[in-house]
Amino acid sequence: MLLPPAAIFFCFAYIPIYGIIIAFKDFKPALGIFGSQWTGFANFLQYFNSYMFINTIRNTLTISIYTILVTFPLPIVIALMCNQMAAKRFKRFFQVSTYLPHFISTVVMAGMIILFLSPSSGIIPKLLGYAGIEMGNIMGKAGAFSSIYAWTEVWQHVGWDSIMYIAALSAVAPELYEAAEIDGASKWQRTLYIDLPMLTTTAVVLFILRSGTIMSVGFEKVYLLQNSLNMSTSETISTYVYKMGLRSNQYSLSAAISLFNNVINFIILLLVNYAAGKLSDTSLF
Amino acid sequence: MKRTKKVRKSRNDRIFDAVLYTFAGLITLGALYPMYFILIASISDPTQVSAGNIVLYPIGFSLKGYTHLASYSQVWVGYLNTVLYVIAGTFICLAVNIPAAYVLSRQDLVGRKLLVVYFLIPMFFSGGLIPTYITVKNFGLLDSFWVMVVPFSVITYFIIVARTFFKTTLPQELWESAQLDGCGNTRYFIQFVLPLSKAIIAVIALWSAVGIWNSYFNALIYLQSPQLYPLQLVMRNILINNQVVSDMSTGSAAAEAKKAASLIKYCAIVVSSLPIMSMYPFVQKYFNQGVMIGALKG
Amino acid sequence: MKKYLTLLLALALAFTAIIPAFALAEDIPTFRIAIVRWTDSWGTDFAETALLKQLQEEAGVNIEWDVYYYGDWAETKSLLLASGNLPDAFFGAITLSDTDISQNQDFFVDLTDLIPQYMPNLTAIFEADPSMKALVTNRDGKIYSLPKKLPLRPLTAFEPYINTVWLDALGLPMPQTYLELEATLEAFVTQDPNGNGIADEVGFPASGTAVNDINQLMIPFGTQASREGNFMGLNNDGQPYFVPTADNYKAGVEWVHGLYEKGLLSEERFTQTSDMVTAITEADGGSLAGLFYAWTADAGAGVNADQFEVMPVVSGPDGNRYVESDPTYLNYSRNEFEVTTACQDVGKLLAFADLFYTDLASLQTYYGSIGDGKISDNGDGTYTVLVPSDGTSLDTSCWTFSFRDHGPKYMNAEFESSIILPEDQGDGIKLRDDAVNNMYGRDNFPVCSYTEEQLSRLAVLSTDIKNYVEQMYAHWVVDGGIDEEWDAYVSQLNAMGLTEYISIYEDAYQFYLGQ
Repeated sequence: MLLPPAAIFFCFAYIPIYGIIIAFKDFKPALGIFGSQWTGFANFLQYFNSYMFINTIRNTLTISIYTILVTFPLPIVIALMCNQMAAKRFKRFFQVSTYLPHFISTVVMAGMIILFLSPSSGIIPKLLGYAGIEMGNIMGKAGAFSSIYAWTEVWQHVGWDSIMYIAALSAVAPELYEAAEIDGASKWQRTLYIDLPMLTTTAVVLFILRSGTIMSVGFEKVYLLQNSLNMSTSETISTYVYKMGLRSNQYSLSAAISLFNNVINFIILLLVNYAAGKLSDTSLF
Repeated sequence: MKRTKKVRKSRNDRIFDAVLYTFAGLITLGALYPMYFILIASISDPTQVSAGNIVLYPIGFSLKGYTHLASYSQVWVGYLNTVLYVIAGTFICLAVNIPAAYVLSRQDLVGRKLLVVYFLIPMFFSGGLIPTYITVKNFGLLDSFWVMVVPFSVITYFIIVARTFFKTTLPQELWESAQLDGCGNTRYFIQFVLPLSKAIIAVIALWSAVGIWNSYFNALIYLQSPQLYPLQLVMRNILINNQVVSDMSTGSAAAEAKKAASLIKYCAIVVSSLPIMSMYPFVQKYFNQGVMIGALKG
Repeated sequence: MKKYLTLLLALALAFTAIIPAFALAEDIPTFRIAIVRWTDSWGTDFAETALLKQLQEEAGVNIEWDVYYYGDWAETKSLLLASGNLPDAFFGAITLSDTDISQNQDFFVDLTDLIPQYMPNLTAIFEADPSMKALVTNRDGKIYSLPKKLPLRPLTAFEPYINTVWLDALGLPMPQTYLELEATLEAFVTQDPNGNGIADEVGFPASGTAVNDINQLMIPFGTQASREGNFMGLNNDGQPYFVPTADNYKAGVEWVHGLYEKGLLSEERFTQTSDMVTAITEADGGSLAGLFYAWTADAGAGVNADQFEVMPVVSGPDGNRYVESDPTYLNYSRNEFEVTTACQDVGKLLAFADLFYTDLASLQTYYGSIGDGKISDNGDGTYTVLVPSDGTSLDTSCWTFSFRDHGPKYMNAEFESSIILPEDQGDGIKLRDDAVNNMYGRDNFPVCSYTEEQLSRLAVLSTDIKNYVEQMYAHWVVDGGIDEEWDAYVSQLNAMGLTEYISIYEDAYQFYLGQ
């Protein structure tokens, strides 16, 4: 039963891995991967010595960790809320509403964010204005970038991400709830002692997997929300490499930086996995 | 023994409910607004939209965006292709990932740790676009229907999530009692595991379908013939290409192309997301409680 | 037996009938050419024009076009080059850049000796106009691509357009100096020229970047730089210099900051999207913009174009008037046609490309074919470009039915006067508006050739330098403080390798002059 996936994976995921050597060469398409000149770690050193190295890594990690911290617990909360709703119709409506924003494409989402936050024509400054809060041009404030990024990620994906947890909760036998009710447990206690533990294993596994993406902040959304005023906190590794690549075809440099990112991701995954194994008995292997 | 179904709600529970529904209500409003905005923006005058005048109702009502989109015959071809890719792709994805997840969830599997690592590594390390393209080309899959549904169907993330589900919800006793009845591995999988895993199958199917529906990158790279293009690629060509044309610094043709793009921007979202969004309610019933009950009693 | 013999005979006859057909088909070679277009909304009619059919017949070739779109070209290009699936030729400067060609030189055929052999039209052009030959000759003295010169082009690039409806409403004259311009914008913003009682007028709504503003808003300070976006300009003595560290730039930024403080510029100029700007310039019931820079009024204001007129450029602090002008970038280019090593018959393909270099062919690859009814041949040596009858703009029609800016072309200056353009659309308007300001155009830093080594150094240096210049520009316009922070800014740029950056450009400029 494992054979088909293993075979497909071998063909299309393992065979191409030889391409990693592009990171160690001065790749020219005319010479091909094997014909290009070997340069060892020169590409990596070029990146480490570049002026923006520290900045891009700092920005990438800030945005990434902030986003993980904020987008991780909230889908669980949504799933728990959903599970405790007795009103079937509203529960359905609630579920569907929360996952709808997931379908909006990044390009349109970024355009909407800029529009909604515009001090002259956006709805959010208008609403805050009624409450007496002056927002100013928040898209132009470098310090606000990671918050804008993280909270709009929540807005867009929290409902969709909660589906997994809702599915996990469906495996709880209803007798458990009824028994708890008889014993006098309140809804709050039922949520805490029945629902939450049910989700722990799933949550831990998802967290381990998520921490393995720590260096990979999505390129498109950052690039669309970036501008000259917030550049100091919004220039991530991927946008920086993209700009370098616009001028000349820096295949080798991008390959080197990708490899660097992937190695860090993998190490973090292994560390988190180990920690999770020790703390909660759940781990990937 | 007949249990009373309705236990009287305690005061704590009523407060809990009040807070719950209030929060849920606010969240629903916040989540619904962007979609509502997109809907009314798609039938409004684009200048009004960019000026920020559209808040609760459309201004400058016009269906021009939709008629403009409908006039592209490519859009209909794209729709058909995407539906085919989604159906074939989801089926293949389930057939490939779910059994792998089950096998990997069994404690008694020989070399289990090694196998998990085998599936984990490509999630992090990849040769990059060029070698993958060359590999696909060497397998003769370029510019074909199958390149959209087979090569990238194995998704480690799905396997691990499904494996976790199997581990936590399939009781060991079930397997033991089945073994006593002389049931083999495969039969157990088909007869017992699958019916009990409706929830996770639904989740993976949903993720897979939505993923395939929204994807355009693989189509961009591996497909050349326009008659194989999925909907998202067609939309992207219409939208992105018209936005980018502003790099062209001369003449009014650029300004006009951008206007066309603004007009259909929101319509494109509605048109390309409506079908897949409406899929969820059908899948929702698999997330109902008590999926496991039958297994233990039977 | 007899049956078999007749069958054999029939087959043999059939075979001999087919052979000549094959031979004929063999005579017309097919070439695959890759071309990039800006957008697919203009369709693929440009590849089926009457002119193309005529040229293919004349050269005895059959061309198949692989069409790509600019938005996704970057990824597809690298795959095309790396996977060894090369077409016979690439078409249009938008398709391959200097770097692409120099890094992959093994893929491209050296045309230096082939041009005199197969391309008589182009050879004649090289003799009459040596700058065209200099344009395509690289640092090693070889030629790998073909050039173009666009016909009927203006000297200026973007010009200022001012809201004359508002000028009339307030009884103001056209401003003559940069200070008068500032006062005019102030009047626009404070005196409610559209008379609706709301202060919704925006003086200058456009988005701001240093690379654009030095050629537009700040140009009265003489900060003109190359459209290539490298921030290099030529000062009044004709010497190359890096604009963002010069004194005139510093003075210009201070002035722009002043405008921003007074609320004459859009508060969100660094964060808004272009849709939001369009909403202001093309607002219903009258434009809400006072001033913008654009190619023509309708390119900048669409339906509200008739509310604006081209403004004669104002004079700056040194008393001179300046307007953005960059003909070497906008009107000429190289890399319009390259032949790859996959091509089986280079001579034949080059002969086909040579047919583009006649006046008539250049006319039709720019506006549309005579045979398709886009241009009328008046029989007396003149040609009229026709306005489309279905209401689409002339500019869009040109892009739909011809290669327009892309591909080899050259039109002799004498021939240009025999072309009659519509007065109210497209190029005709631009030439009319150009006449207002083109006497103030100065020489700009030209498009030069670079060695491969220089190109890769520039790639690394320019990302950091440009990012930093843009960041500081935005910061100074919004927050001020340029005086105190100037020295630190310059030393920071030097730490990023500015001296090396400038020396590369100076070296390239010297080589250019030597040609």
